[in-house]
Amino acid sequence: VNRRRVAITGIGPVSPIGVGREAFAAALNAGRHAFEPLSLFATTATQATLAAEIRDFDVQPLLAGRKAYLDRSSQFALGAVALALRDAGFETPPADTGLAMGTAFGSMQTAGVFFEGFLEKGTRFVKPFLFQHTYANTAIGLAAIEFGLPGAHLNFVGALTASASAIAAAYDLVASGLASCMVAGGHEALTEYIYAASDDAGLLCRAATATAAAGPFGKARGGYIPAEGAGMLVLEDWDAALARGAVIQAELTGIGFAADSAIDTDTCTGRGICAAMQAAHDDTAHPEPADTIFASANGAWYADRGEALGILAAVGSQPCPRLVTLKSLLGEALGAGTALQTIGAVLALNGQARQLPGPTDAALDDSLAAAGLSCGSDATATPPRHVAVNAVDPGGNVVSLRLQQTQI
Amino acid sequence: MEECVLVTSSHNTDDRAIVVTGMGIVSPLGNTIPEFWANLCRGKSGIAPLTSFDVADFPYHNGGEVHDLAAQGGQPAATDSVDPATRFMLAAADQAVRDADLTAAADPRATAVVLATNFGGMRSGEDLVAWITGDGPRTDAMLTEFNMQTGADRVANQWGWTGTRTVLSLSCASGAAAIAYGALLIRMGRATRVLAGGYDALTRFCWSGLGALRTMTKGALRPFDLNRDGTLFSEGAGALLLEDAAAARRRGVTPYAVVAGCATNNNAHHMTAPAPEGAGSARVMAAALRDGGIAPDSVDHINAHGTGTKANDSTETTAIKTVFGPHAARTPITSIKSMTGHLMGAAGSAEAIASILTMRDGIIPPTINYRDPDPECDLDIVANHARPATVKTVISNSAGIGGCNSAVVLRWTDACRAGEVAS
Repeated sequence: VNRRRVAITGIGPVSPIGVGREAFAAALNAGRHAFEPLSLFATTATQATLAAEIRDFDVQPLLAGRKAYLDRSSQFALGAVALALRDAGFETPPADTGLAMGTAFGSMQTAGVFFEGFLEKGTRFVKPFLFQHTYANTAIGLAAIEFGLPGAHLNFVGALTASASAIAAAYDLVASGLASCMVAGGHEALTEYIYAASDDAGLLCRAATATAAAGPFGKARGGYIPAEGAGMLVLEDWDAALARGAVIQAELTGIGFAADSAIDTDTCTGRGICAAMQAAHDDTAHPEPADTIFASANGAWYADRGEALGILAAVGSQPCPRLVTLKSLLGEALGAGTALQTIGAVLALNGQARQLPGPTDAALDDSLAAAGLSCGSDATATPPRHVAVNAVDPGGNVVSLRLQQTQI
Repeated sequence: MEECVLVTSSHNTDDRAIVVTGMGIVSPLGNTIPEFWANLCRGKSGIAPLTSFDVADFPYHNGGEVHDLAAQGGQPAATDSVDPATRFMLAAADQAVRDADLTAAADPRATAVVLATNFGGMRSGEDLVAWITGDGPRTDAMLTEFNMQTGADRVANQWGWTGTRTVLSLSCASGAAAIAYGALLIRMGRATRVLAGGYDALTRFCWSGLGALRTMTKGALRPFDLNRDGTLFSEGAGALLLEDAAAARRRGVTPYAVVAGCATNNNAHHMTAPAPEGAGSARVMAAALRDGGIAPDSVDHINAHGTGTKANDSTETTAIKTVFGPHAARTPITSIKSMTGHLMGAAGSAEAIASILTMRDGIIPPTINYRDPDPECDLDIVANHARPATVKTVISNSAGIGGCNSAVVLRWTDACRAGEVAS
C-alpha cells in the first residue's frame, strides 16, 4: 500500500480541565487538575471519592437543533465532534467524511436507568425511547446524523485502548487513500455503575484529596482517579488539507499494535509496550526517536510499572525522553483517554501547550527510578518535535501512535 | 457520489489476496459448521419459545437460543463465570482456529483478533446494575465480563496471540464490520491473520428493549413476504479466520474463499428508520463491489440483511435495485434470518459463513416461511427450498440501529476448497 501523509487539522477536547482548544491548552499551561469529590452521584458506598467531572457543559449550542434526550457520553461526543470540525475550519466536511470512535462503556448511564426500570416495574413499563440511547454505538450514530458524516464508520469498545484503536483505524483509512477525511476519537461518561464496580474491583485511587493521590508512576500509587469527557481529531489526507488551505496542526506519522497478557501482573516485563512503540516507530516513513512520550500511565500499580519497563526497553541505551503524564491532570477517562492525550500532544507539538505534566523526581516510584526511568519533564523545555502517545489496557492490548511537528 | 470504501483487497487468490481459512459457528441451528449448514439447507427453523430466562411477562416469547454448547465440546476453558456471550464467541473461535489448522503454525505477533457485538457481556452488565440497586448479589466477575474488551482478550489469550485485539460495536452491522476491519489490518500489514468474529447473547435487557422497539413479530419470521410483520432475535457467534493468501499458501492451507471487498458507512439519516430508498445500504454495497473491482452483474447471489420488518426488506430491495439495476431481478437472494433468527452482532458473521458454504457446495439456502410475494420486494427470492446454483461471487449485506451499514463481497476461485453436496 502506498501511504499518503495524514494531517491533523482539527481538535475538539471536551474535558474536565477545559472545553475547546483554548481552555484545554490554558489548563495544561496552568498545570490545573480537575480532581474533586464526586458530585454526580453519592460515594457513600465506595472507598474512592475523587473524580474528574465535567461541570456546566451544555452541548446544545453546538448542535443544529435541540435534542429531546442525549446520554451524558453522547453529549460529550457530539460536543467534541462539533468543536473538532469547527477547529478544522470546515463549513462542510468532504462528502465521504467518516467516523471512528472509541468508548469503554458507551451509554452506560442510560442502559443502567433502562434496566433499573425493568427491575422495578417489569418489561411492560420500560421506556422505549431510552433503549435506542443505550447502544455502544449510539453516540457515533448520532454524530453521523447531526453532522452529516456518511463515510466509513467504525466504533471500538475497548476500555483504555478504544480511542487509540479508533485513531489508528482512521489513520489507516486515510493513509491508504480509502478515505480523505475522518473524525476520530473517543468518549466516556462517569456513571455510578462503573464507578462503584471499579471501586469494588480495587482499581480506583482511594486518596481523600488530590494532593494525597500518588499519580502516574508515583510512589505508593494504588489506582487511578476516574474521569470523563471526549476528544475528537480531524484526520485528513495531507494534500487535500493543503489544497483547501487548512492549518495542519501536526502530522500523524505511524501507528503500532501489540499485546501482552501479563500487563496487569507483577511478571510484566513491558515486552508488549516496547513492541507497540517499536512498531509505531518503524511504521513512520522517516523515523526519528521520540523526544517526548505521552504515557498511558494512570496510577495503576502493575500497568504503570509495565509501561515504564516497556518504555525503557524501547529507548534502549538512549537517554529517557521527556515523559508526559497528562492523566495526572485529567484522570483516567477510559474510552476518551488516548484521544485527549493525542490532543495534548498536538497542542504541545505546535507550541500551544508549553508546560506538560510529568512525574517529579521526588514523586517517582523508587523502583522505576532505579530501573532507569527519569522524569525529564521540564516546564521550560522547547516544544517536542517527535511524540509517541501510548495506550495500554490492563487486559493486554497496546496501541502506540507517532506524531510529529508539521513539516510542509 | 463519493462512496465510503473501507478496505480494498485483491479479488483473486494471488499473494495479495485476503482469504478465509477457517470458520466456526454457535447458533440456534447448531454449534458446528456441518450441522449449521445442513440445517440451513434443509430449511429448518431455529426459532422456539425462549427458556434461558422467564419470558412470561414479555410480549414476545419466541427467539433463537443456543443449546447444548457444553455437550458439544464448546470451549473447555470457559467456566460458568465467563459471560454466556463470550462463551459463544470462544467456542466459535476455537472451531475456526482448528478448522484453519492454525494451532501449531501461528505467528503470535502477527495474529490479531477483531470481534464485534451489540451487547457483549450484557448478562454480566445486568448483574452489575442489579448489585447497585440491591436487587442482586455482588459477583467477582461482573465488571470484567461486562467490559467488552474482555472477549477479545480471552480469544487472544487462548492461543497466546499478541497481535492487536479489538472489539467493535456497530449494532446489527457488527459481524460484517469485523470482517471489513480485519481485512484492513491485513491489507495494511498490521497482521497476517485475523480472527474476525461476531457474537451476542439474548438477555432480559436486550429482549426488553428490542421488544419495546416493536420490531419483533409474534408470528413467523418471513423476510420479503407480503405479510411480514417483524423480526425475531437470536443468539450465537460466528468466527472467520482471515489470512494473508501468501501466508496461507506457505502453511499449505487451502482457503474457503477470498474476501474480495468490504465497506462500512452510515446513513446519516435517523437512528432507527432506514434511509429513504435505502440510500445508505445502496452506497455500502456499491462501495464493497468497487472495493473488490467487481462489476455488479458478475454477482451470482445476494445474502440479504432481510430482517423481516416492513421497512428493512422493502428499502433493502430498493437498494439492491439501485446497485444492480436489471441484474437484480435475475440474482437469487435469500435471508437465512428466516431460519437462524436475527443473530444481532453475530448475524453478519453467520451470513458470511453461509455465503461461503453456498459457493463451496453450489446450493443457496432458502428463505423459509415465504408465502405471498410483495410487490415492494420483487426480487428472485429463494423461497422455502434450497436451490442448486453455481455461485462464484456473493455479497452479504448488513445494517443496524444507529444507521450503520456494512457489506462484504466474497469470491470462490479454483484455488479454494472444493465443493461438497450438502445433505
